[in-house]
Amino acid sequence: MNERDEELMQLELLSAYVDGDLEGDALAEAEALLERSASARAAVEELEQMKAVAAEPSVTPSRDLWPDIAAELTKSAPANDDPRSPVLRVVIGALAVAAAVAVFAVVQPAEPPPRPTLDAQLASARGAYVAAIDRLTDASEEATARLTPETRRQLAASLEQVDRSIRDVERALQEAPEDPYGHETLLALYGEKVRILRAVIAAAEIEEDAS
Amino acid sequence: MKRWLHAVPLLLIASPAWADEVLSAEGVRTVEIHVASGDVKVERHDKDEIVVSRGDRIQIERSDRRLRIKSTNGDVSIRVPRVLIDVNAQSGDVRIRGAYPRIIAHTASGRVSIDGQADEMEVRSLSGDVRLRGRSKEVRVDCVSGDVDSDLDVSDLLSLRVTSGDVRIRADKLAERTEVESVDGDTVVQGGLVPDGVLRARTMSGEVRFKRTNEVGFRLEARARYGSVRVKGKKRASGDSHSEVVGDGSADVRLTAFSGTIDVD
Repeated sequence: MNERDEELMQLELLSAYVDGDLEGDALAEAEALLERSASARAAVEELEQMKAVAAEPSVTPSRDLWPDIAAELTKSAPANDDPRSPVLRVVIGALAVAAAVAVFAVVQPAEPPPRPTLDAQLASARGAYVAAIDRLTDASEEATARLTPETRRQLAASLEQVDRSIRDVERALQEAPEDPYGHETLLALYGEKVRILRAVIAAAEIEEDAS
Repeated sequence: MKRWLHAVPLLLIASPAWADEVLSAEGVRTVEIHVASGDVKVERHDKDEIVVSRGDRIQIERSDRRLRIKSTNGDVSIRVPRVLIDVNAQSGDVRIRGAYPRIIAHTASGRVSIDGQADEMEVRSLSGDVRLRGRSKEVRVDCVSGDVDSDLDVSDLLSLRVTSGDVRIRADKLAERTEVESVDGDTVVQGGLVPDGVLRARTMSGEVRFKRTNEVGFRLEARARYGSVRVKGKKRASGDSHSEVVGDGSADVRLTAFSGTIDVD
């Protein structure tokens, strides 16, 4: 078993742990893993946050945002046949950088229907990210307006840098469409944009909490 | 001038004592600070009390084991015993000194400076720079455009994500797992590896530079898809990956760039 397979198995185990689905040896295994592994604890924290977000369908009080995003992010999973944790399916789309390959491996159903081609999976994942970015961009408009002019300027520059990088990678993929590292980088950049937009929304909440 | 006028400056110097509010720390596990506009300073002391140097617009709430300090406009300065620190500042700078079980600092545009010890540190910043000193077991930093400068001694995990700022890590001994991700900022990691330790650094178009300062062996996998890889000043790969084993190969070092460069010394 290679390192990535092992990481995926651990992610599944932790996802089931967060869902409260573990008993006996599996529960003991998860607890032992959490005891010895900082990254496992971090993953559980992330999973719990995502579960909370999924349960509370609003990032900002006035918007019903995350269910749509979660749905978009998990479109690559065949929902009716997927026996995996709902939390895991939400997380798969959101964990951008490490997820580029994991997205496809984790969402495989136990009794898989005909497997989509890699191109189809990539297109689906990219579509999910683009849809999520569109929604987050709308949701973060108000939050962005509350930032200082200098922060807005730096934020715009960072987003432009990510967009430029996305264009660069897309151009490179036109030259080498089979390059797995290019696809992985592209998905990581989409994930980066999601991370930035979520950070903007979170920053606006600081002001709300202070008043 | 009348003699009593000389006393006025002394009275003004002494007056901040009147602005301090001293609260019992008994039962308090977490101190939360929320500031919309203003700086935050947190310092440690060994008394079982929490001293808040308060301005006019500060609210203090206490519930369960949590003390919550809110300010819409104005600086907040506190001295606390060993409690969990959770600071959220919109546009001011955050300075935290001392030893705590956990430190959380979130800012939109302020700078974050931590000099202390905590089992866990978590920092998020949109545009402010982050400076870290001291010691910790697990550290996570999420930045967009600020630079991150770490002289921390971290045992377990150091995870830094930055979009366009630069990252500089210096440590006598790196954490068991060190992870850095950036889009176009430069990353410099200088420190000693630990046996079986892991170092991952990835950039889109920036430079990743790793300078090992001890003799622990490592397996290197460096990949620069449209950039270049240099090891000890010699170009080893361009448009491809480069692998080599140094010493006993016990640590695992993977450095990746899409169009940036990788430099291993």
